[in-house]
Amino acid sequence: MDPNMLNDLHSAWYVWGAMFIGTALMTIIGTWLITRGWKE
Amino acid sequence: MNPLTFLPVPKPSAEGVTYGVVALGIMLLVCIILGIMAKKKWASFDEYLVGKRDIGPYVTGAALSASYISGWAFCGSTGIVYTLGFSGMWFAGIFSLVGIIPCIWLAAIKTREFSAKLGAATLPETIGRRFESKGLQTIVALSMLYFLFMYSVGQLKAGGSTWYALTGLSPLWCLLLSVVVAWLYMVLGGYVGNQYAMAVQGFIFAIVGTAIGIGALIYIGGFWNITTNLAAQNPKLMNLIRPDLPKIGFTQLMSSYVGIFAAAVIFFTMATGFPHNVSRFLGMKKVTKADYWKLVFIVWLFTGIPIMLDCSSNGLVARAIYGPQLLKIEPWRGDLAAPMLANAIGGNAMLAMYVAGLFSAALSTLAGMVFIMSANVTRDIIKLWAPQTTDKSMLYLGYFLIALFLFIPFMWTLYRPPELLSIFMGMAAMGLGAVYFFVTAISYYWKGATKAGAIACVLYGTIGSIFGAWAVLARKPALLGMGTMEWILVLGCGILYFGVSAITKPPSQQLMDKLFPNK
Repeated sequence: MDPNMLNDLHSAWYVWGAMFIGTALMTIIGTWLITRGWKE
Repeated sequence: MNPLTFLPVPKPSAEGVTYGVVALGIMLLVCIILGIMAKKKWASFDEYLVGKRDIGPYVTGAALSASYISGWAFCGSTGIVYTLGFSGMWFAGIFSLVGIIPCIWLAAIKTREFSAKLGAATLPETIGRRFESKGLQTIVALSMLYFLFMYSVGQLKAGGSTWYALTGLSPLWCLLLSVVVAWLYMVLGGYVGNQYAMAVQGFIFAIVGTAIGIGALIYIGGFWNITTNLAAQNPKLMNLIRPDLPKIGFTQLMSSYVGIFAAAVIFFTMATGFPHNVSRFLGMKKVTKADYWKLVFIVWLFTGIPIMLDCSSNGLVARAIYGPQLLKIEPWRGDLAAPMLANAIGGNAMLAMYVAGLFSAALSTLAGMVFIMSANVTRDIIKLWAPQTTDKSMLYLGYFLIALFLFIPFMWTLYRPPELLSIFMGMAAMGLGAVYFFVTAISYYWKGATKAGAIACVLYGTIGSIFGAWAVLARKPALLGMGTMEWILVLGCGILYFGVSAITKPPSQQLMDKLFPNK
């Protein structure tokens, strides 16, 4: 199998990984922004 | 590993029946016990509907995950990716967190606060009182009843087919037992019993989903092996977008950027628009900053990890293991991908755990919807217009309606639902999201919202989703792409909600001061 083609196809996993990391960051940053002014 | 050597599809066995009965039996038994324990938590019709508003963040978060993640998300989503490849993940649920985390941000505190301030026990009642309109409360209740009825019909389908795959037996008895148990814990424990059962169900599918997701990646030997295997089968399976698929109809969600971006919007609006999600906050206690972080963390953990694996790598691993064999097995085809993957990883024991996880996901979403549908009729329509009706008769009617709304999806899992119903079902989730994202969540923040704007939004979204079902799913060939239809629904609902509100009169100043105090 052409290694270049495999490399191109494999790059889809970087997008997949970015989704995992991106949504985790979104969760942390968004929640921090919402709660930072809260008084206990 | 030779990439084109596929594992034979396992056959049901006596061992599978035993494991399946034990796993499902334990899950259902725990739910009944919770229902019995929660019976002490309510003493009036109001408390039956919403409890004492003292439920903590862990239970609320787990129950929210369970209400959001349906049987389809736990089974059908893997099937989509198994069938179409990587591009299927956009619709299959990779955007789940893009919806459910903002749902907490937008609706958690405000739903609790508004419903408590307004003395409301249901979401339509909260909306109706927010706009000082009994008419709106009735319209919202009827619209929710329509959407939830449509959406509930297919909820047990994945459970039924997976049970058959595991045991080779008819799903009649396991589905009947499941709906009877769900009826029992809702009748006994009311809102609180349902919330606790949902939390346990959320915990079960989170554990099982994460175990299968990680197990699948280990089993196949990592990402590179998946890529190599799928490239040998068909390189298009690894493409993130499939322009070769039709640009209209359902496949638009994978074939064009309009569709892929619409999938993100569908998940974003759906999570906040689903009344069975937002209703999880009605009975929540007043939360501190630490509680809020716990709530977010549980939802991220229970929804994010298992479902993001489930809707992406699991489908690809199943395809690598079994090749296209499962597509030839009628009538389930891709729906067998998730159970067969569980079997490949851990044999009948893992498959039985998967069945318990799947029934947890399906039953929790169905129970969340059914409880609301019952309250739509009793509290939001009958009690609203005939307040002299006794609470006792409302409770008994509620018990009957819960049984009825559980029985209908049960029946239509055993017998094929009418074609028209299946078509409307496909658009119900999008309609719910488009309408109630605005009518519920935005109304918590925008003082200028009016009942006329909300009514226009509800009517447009309801009629629009019926049109969309015809234009995208019923008409051959399709008139529109599913992504395009989502834009038509969301933008139309938004324009009407804001536009009509801008030219009509908001509720009284006294109410606005109560709901939106100056800080």
